[in-house]
Amino acid sequence: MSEPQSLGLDVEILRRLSRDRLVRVLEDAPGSKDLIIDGDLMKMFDRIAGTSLLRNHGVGKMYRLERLPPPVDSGQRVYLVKPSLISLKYIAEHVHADRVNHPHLQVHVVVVPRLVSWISSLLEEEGLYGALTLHEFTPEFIPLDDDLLTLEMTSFYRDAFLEGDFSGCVSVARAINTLQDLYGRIPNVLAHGRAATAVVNALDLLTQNNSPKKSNQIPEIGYLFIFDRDADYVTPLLTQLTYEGALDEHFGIQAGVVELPGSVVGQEMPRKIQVNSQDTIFDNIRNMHFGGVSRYLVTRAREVKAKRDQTQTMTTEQMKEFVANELRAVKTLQASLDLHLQTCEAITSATQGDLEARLLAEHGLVTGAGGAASLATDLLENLLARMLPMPNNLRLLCLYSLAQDGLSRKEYKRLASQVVAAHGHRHLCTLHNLRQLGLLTVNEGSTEGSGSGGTQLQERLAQMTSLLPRRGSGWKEAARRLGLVGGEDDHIDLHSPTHMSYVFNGAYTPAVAKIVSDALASRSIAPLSLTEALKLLPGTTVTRSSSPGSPVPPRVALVVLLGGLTFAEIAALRLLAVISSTRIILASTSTITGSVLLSSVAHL
Amino acid sequence: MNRAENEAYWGSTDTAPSALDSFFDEDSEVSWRGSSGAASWRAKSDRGEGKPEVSGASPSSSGSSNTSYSIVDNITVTSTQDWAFVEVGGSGTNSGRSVAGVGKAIGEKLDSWKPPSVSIKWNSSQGQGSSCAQCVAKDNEIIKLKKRLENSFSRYNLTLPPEDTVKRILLGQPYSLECYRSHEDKIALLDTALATLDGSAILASVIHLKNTVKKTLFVKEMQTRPHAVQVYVSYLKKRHNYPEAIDFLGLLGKTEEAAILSYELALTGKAPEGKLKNFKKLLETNFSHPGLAFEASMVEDNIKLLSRQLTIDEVDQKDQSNPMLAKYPRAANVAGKPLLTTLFYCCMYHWEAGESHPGSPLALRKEHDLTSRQLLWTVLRGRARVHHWPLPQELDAWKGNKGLLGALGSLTSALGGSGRVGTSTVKAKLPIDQLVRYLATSGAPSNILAVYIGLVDPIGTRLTLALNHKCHQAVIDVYVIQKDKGALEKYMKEIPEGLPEYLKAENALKTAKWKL
Repeated sequence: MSEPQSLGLDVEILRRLSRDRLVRVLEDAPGSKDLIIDGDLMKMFDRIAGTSLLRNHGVGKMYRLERLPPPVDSGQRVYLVKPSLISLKYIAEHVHADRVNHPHLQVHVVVVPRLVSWISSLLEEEGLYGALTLHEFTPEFIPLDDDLLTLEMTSFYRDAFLEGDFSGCVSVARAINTLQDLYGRIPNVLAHGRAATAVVNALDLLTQNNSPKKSNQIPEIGYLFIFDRDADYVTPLLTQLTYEGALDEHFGIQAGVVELPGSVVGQEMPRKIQVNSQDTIFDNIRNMHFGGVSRYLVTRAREVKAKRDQTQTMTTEQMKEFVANELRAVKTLQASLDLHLQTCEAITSATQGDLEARLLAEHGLVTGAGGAASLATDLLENLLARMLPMPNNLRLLCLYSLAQDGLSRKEYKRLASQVVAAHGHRHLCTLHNLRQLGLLTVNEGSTEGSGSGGTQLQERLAQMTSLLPRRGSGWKEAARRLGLVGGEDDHIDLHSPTHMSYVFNGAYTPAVAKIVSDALASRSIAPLSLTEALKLLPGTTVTRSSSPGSPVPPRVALVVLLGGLTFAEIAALRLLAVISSTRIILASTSTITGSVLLSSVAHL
Repeated sequence: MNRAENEAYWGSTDTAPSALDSFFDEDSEVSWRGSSGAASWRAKSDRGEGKPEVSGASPSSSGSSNTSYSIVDNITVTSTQDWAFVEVGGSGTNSGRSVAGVGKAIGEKLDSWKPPSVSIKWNSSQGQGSSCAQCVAKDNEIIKLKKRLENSFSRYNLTLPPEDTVKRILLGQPYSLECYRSHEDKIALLDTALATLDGSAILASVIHLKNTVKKTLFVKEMQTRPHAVQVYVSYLKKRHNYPEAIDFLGLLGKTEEAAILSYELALTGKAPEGKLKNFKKLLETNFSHPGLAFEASMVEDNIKLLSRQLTIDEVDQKDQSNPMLAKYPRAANVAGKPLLTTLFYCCMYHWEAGESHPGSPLALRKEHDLTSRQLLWTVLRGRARVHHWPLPQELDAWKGNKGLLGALGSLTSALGGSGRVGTSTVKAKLPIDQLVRYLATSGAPSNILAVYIGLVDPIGTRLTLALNHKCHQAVIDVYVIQKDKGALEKYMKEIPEGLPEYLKAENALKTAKWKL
């Protein structure tokens, strides 16, 4: 599926750029220093640089940022932190505490990815303005694979969509800008959503500062797509069915690494494994429908066994050749096969029994099958009564709400009180958050809420806000216009797929994949039918297209998803890449599952 | 702006440096330069004619002595370098470059970079008196310049275009909001920030507004800017300034958000007793709005639950007589746990307790609304935890007849069970296959399992389930119902001879009616 090098775009260069920039930041504090890293950033830095690189640039001891300050071993200390209040409060406490005994300790604070405005005022309030040196480190996209980039901004979804803080968009724009510096300005742009608009705006600002020579460079990337996560909530809410998706759902893939528990891999300690295309077996099965994976693995295992059996009858000469050339490969193949068979087994046994009913309800809801709604509420109430993990329960609740274009007040009350009973009253706040996000919508009855409390003005304002169009409702129409449900009458072949909806058993095509597919298939990047349909999704559309007469843009597309990308979408877009013979590079703030998404907005 | 001061400052020079001329010649640029000059001049005079900042330190390290928000303090950081660079370059027009260094003070420039030669010239011209013709011309020019300068101090020229400032915030360059003093300017700044959606810029301009106008005005402006409200409130939350956020939302008429936030605040309390008190206070204040009836009822529910949990913890900590507490030591206090966890706990430790006992599951059930599903699943799970698997009849009875509970502890009836519990609520409410799987994994004895499997319809599914779980009793029952003698005979081989099920099967083969 992937022969990216032939297309000339090497994303590995991005890692080098981030690494160089990190070195520069480290050298801003010349000499030896101790490093204190925000726990949330460790995975990201792990993907950028190894310890040896840090050691080569004066880093002595490394600590995770915690409340208590680590011992002072060198004259300098460098903090790598996200712009979060807690991290900065900790640093302030450390500095105050260490001042007494180590008045000469030099403190550097590197804020990742962006030094936002309130940080310096916070330090000022702490009386520390000037007592420490502030730096900024903006990472480039980190390549997880030939076609998959991440910024590992794991709190982006919550920050932007729940708290309205789109300041991360500037960092995304910087990363895209670097790609444009390397590969030329991308002529065709389609961006939809609030965060996407913010990224385009920031990108415009940044390109103004670029040298004019750049604009003459012949672009190597023809298309840029930017979407907000809220353009398609259904995809993360549905249970993922590709192998890589299932792996993520069950064990969690973070920055391209999955940690398998010891019980799965047959050892005492959990094992961390990088999952990418370098593992040829994995590369072959990652996008497969889970139903076909074990069969494939067993077939391959037989082949390997046959190969091994051959060695029994080999002459010494043949044996020598085998050992020299093939043994290693066969051994890695065997190890990889064993590993994936083990994980397959673990996933199958974990989902046994429950999965079937769940898929029936999910796909019924999305396709609008008769009786699906009552099936879904029935299932949901049972899941809640059994106190199964909350994120999974909320996924079904939100999917139910979206697919029904909202819940009635009565239904909301019934289900909400069951959520609260199963998971705790504090999740009243979680439910509130879900409603703010439009993941959960309550259709207010017209007769309710005409109480006498509060001033008249307040009443009227409350009324006004309730009249505003609510996000989350109107999904049915949007899905119909975009052609996300069904579409092809043909039977979808799950095991040698030709239609992107195979990632959800043919019930649903991820909206982002569908929009990109439509745009790539038409002559202009945003055909009228598409822009009309996009109006039904939250946010506005921004389009740029190459001026008429300019050369045909290269069939290379960059698809950026703000707020998290699921492996179901990745699989669908990888299939699209093959079908439309386009190289598609996927980038996101992080890879997610629906459970990760919902957990990030849940009350702790 | 004090006119006299103004003149005192500018009066110290007989002539403006040549570079200043070029400033005023570029009409398009006049506005911000003049204004920034004025702004920074003011800042300077505030500091009592402080020494110019010349140290060419890096942006981050130089701020050491600066603790104010003034332009000088924030801007010089990079601009001194910028400036030197521009001047050394020697070009008279420094447009592009100095645009980047917006906010550079004219006064600052005059003071800090006036090269020695220029100052000598100025001094000498002052010394020459003002009688010569040349000097008259110069005086005229000075008057003219003063006028232009005054014009440049008018409101519009005083502020930098908000676009520039917002851009600086976005790109992480030094900036100052000090010059946005008129209300219109502040609002223009806020709206420009809002248009970019950038949280950093929005927050900076909201806080600037907040700090400089009275509360009612602030609230009035925020009223129409929901995004600004959102950013500001989440900032207050992050800073743990909940009271202000709640108050602010209340003023905006966002009663629901204010109520939820006040509940969130109450949740942060560590001691459960304090939480309880806070919840009660909330109900009277933030949750009194009729539109929040449901949320209020949930908080009320929380109060009831938490009070009961506290009593349970108190009683059970001291309780020496309850054998269950000795057999299964408590893992943790139940206070703060969800309702169903509490029910689970009560079923574990106080299954047979009368309703007067605080830990009685019946009392809990009476006080809180629970669906049959919630009840049945939780009771089954709680009892299974202590190796007791109640029969469907028991559950039905427990559900319907609260008083009978004590009598239902025994399991003897299970042995004769053939699964004919047709109209059980268990069947109606729970997916039996999942239930059976749960019971099997929790170690339920085969005879109990058989009763539950007996509830499954259709009979084909029942058989599959029975075979899957190797539940001999259930398999025998199915074959008897199906009157399939051959199948049962075949199945006999699967049953070890010593088991009571083996005898049962033998018995059935002899006595039951079979198909011919």
